[in-house]
Amino acid sequence: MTYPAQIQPQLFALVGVFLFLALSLLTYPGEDRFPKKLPYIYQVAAFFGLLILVVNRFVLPELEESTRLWYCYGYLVAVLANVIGTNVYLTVPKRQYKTSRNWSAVVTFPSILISTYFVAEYGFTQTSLMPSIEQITVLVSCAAIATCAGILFSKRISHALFRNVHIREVTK
Amino acid sequence: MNLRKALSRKYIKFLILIAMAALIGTASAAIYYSVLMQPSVTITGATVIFVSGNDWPTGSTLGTNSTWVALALKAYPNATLTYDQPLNITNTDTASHLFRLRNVSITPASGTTSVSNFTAINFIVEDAAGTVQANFDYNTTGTTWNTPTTTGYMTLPASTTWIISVQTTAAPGASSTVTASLVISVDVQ
Repeated sequence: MTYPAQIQPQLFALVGVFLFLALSLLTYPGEDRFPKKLPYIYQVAAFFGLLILVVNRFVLPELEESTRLWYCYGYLVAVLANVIGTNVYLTVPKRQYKTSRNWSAVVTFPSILISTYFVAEYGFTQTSLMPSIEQITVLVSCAAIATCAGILFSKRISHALFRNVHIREVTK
Repeated sequence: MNLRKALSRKYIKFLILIAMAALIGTASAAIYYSVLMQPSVTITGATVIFVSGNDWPTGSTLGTNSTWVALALKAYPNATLTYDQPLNITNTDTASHLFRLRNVSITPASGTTSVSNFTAINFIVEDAAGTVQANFDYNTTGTTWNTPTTTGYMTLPASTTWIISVQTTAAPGASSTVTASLVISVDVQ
């Protein structure tokens, strides 16, 4: 009898590596939008994720699942923070609302959705390591972030919000 | 010309970035795959177990986790002694399992004079309705044991108990001090 392989905590690190690589490639063509070194920094971050996987597999394979879970999960949270951070960077300092909206739809929202799916999937199979209260917290947080991002980057609201900021700065 | 140069430099950088991304991504995926393919062993309780029957012989031992049993059986000279229900075999699983009886060893070995004290030791597998499913019969010819061939696999339905009854016969005038030890394996699939 064969059973489907159970999700391992390292999957979060793997998803993180892919998201960092995607960020690296997506931020490169728009060198004028993002700092020039950003794609390379993301490549290094992805390489750091690869190192996490290597250490986990070959150097410290005897680590308990709870330990592996939390540093892999931490890595994934760091990636998501970067995804949201790039969105905020495009909106606030750069004021590229259209690009920011597109970025939100193409990068931020799918990244959060994919991560939420894997976290929920892992949480449902490993209830002892990730109890339902934590699952709910993660899901609600992700949903809240996605909703806030959607509202923040919607054309009308962001225009109104940041136009006021600009006016205030000018009058000062 | 300068624009072309700058563009080509930019493309080369981007190609290097893509190549690095492919390398890191492939290596990461391969490592995760190797983690998934790591063999793991989970200890679970046996689903097919032995349970002592109503006719449990005195001095017998039911092993830890009910995965082995040592029956202390008697045999009367020139008479057949039947243990109706010394031992049960139970499937505690929700799915059916196959099992069979297989001879492992018997002492005293064939050729030893004490073998002739025994006539037959027959293990009979009966289903829940009492229908005989298999006979696993040890008998002797002089000082030689005729060991039974391995039975075919029998289907033990889910949450069902079957009976293993035993019939023993010793030769007329058999010595009461002689003991035979049989080791039988129950193979479960």
